[in-house]
Amino acid sequence: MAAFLHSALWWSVLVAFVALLAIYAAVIVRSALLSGARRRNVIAADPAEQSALAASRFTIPVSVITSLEAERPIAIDVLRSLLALDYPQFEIIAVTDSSRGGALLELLKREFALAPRQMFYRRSLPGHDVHAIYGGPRDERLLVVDHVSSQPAGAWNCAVNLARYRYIGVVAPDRTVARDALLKAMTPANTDPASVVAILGHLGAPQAAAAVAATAGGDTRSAASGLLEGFDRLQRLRDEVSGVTAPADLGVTTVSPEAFGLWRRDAVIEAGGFAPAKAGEGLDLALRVQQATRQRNADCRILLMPDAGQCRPSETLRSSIARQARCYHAMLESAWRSRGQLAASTGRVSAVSAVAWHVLPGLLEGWLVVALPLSIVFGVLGWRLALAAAITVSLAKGVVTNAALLVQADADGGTGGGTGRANPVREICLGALEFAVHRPLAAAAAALGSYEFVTGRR
Amino acid sequence: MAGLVAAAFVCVLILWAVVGAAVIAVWTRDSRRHRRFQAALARLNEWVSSGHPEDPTRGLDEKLGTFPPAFLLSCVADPSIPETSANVLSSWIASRWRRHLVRYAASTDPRQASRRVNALRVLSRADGDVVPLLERALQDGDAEVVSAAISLLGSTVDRRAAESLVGALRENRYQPSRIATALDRFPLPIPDLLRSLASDANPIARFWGATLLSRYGDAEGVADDMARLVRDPDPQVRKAAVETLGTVGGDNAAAAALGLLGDPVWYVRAHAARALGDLGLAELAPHVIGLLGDPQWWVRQAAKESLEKMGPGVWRDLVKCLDHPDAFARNGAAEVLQNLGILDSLIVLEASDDHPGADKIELLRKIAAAGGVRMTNALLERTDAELSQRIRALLDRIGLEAAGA
Repeated sequence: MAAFLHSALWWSVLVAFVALLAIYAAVIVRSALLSGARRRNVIAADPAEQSALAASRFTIPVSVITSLEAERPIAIDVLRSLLALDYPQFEIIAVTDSSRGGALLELLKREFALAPRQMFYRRSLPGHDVHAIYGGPRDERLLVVDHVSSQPAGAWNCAVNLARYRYIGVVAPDRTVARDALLKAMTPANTDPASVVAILGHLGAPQAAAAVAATAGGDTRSAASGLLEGFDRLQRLRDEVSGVTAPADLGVTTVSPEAFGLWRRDAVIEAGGFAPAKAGEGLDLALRVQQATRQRNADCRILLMPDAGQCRPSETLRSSIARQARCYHAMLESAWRSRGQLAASTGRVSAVSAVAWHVLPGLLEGWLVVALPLSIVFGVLGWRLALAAAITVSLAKGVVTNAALLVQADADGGTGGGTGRANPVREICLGALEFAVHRPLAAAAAALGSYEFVTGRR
Repeated sequence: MAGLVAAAFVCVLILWAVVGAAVIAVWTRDSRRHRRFQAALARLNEWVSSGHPEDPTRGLDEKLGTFPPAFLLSCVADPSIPETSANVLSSWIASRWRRHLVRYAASTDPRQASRRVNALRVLSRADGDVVPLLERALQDGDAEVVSAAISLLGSTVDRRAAESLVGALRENRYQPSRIATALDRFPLPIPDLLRSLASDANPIARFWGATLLSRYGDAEGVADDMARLVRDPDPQVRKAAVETLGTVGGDNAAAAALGLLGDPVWYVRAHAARALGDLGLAELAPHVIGLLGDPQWWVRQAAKESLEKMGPGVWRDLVKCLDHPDAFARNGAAEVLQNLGILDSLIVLEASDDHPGADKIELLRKIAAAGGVRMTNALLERTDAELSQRIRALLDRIGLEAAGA
């Protein structure tokens, strides 16, 4: 038995090692082949065109909704950043629950000179009663709603009922937004409002939140947080350059729980609104909207945007693992609920492709993280050989990163991205350290997310 | 296995070092170019801002002349460059590499779309005759190229540019709202072109014609066009026409909007109500008040917004609506009275009076009944503590706080 386990471990390490190097080589080849196509994609935005859209009366108005949690002073910054959005017509509906301590509501009333008012509205989605509604003579675009809601889903549904416009933008309570975020995110909807029912996006790096923290009295980002951001950035760069994006390949919605969302109001109401979901309310609704539109055979599109100017708050090591675990949980949940689509003949090829490019490298890396130390402990490999294998995989991943950096520099047409790119030495070093430093964390997050998926509600 | 790992290690190490060195080399080259460009730009900005009498492009030949034109095109596309400097740079690039730029701008190679757009932008800034090139770009299969061409045509002071945009709108060549945005900001007056659009056989073109003409209310024939379009068989066109009438006004605007308050299509009714609000004719409020009980929620909402725009003068008509048999209409009337400040004025006045008038008390009772307890609670919260006490006493005295909607 011991001999069998010994042999199995040896072979598994060998297969994982060779397979990983082969996949990395394939990713580099794919990146090189796609680099020609990427060159055409970097048409710089014309500020005149952007300002024309930002001032146009034909740009579709949006109701931006958010649920503000008690004891969060960042709420004021979030609302200020929303009010500063560069968009021709929008309203902000912020929902807060004064029954969980009315300090935040009092703060908002004072800060934005809010006064109570009665409003009659259509309750298209079920939920608790509204306790009070506040509007401001200073800025009529802002509406604050006092509503008993133990979950964000309830607060968002309440805000959807009050929303006046065709599209709804959902913003999390701890996220500030860039001035042009809404205009950027709404671009596909403004181009094709008849078929775009949702625009979902992953969050950008946490600079904005850090900037808020900095203005409030010092940047709270730790070195670990900076390192994690660096690894996140490299992952996005590699995915972008190699054209490996799981959601597009799978043809199903795989959205991280932190993703922001822009929704067409009628689609939200048709799907029954937001519901509490462990893997994320946005993902849950996206799957229901997708299901409803597929049943109707309607021409409806759910789009994914890599980054539209929303930023997540600064992270600690622990919160980063928890976030990645939630993302992993969301991905499994999405795959599980879309299994019918994956099994369909049209989805099989893309599913295999997504697994090959996205899931397999992660699994193999995760296995090597576990298997190499085990091999040393059980005497399968000498520590020098195990270390050499680990360094080789680390450097190989670094080669993939370097190739992505090279393709990106080439795609910028020698302008350094217009404003000058930072020295790449840090990125080159980070790329080589990723397997050793970041992969163990990712493996822990994947294990946690899988455990939550298996033991949780699906 | 040791041999395999050793071989792989050596190969990967060499690859990592070589590709890493290439990244650093490219970055160093780009940084050097970028620094030179920034230095030249800083000097140019200085000259431009100081209003120096000498030609600001003097010295650019020496500093930037050796750079490839494609690189300079990418640099000029940087939105952080001040407008005036970008114009000067564009003129200099166009004068030096005009043939290159025209070739780039006419290229239909999809992989060179970025360079094509940058060349079109530089030529447009340099005041060259760029309309034919932009017209060609408008026919391109790449949506980003078409979008850029639309934007550039929209800012070109040349009537041919507007004609191209109107043609593109007619032929539905791109998202109509984007083309309409360009036409709406067009630097020359073009009412005749838009009027031709409003007479088109295609209802989408008529819709945009009617919408865009709101900028030209004084132009000859526009009022007649709108009077015709409010009877259009297409409801979208009727909606656009009444919306434009609300903006431009005129003798027949109110009559046309009143006629559409009974339109079978709900969004036409909603826009007719809004148009009457935009016209600000409080004497027409009774017609709009009728829509507070419309079966469609959005029409009721539009009626409320319209009445609020008409101003406090509508209060007498609204009060009559407080006896309406439809609860929605009563709710809506109470909400408008609250938002216009009528409720606050009335109750504050009566609360300060020791003997409030019976008719006023009755009126307050009706508003509170229509608005519900939350409306009176909101009112109490809006006022200061002392006044709030008096209002509470008044409400208690007349039993209003128990009123339900």
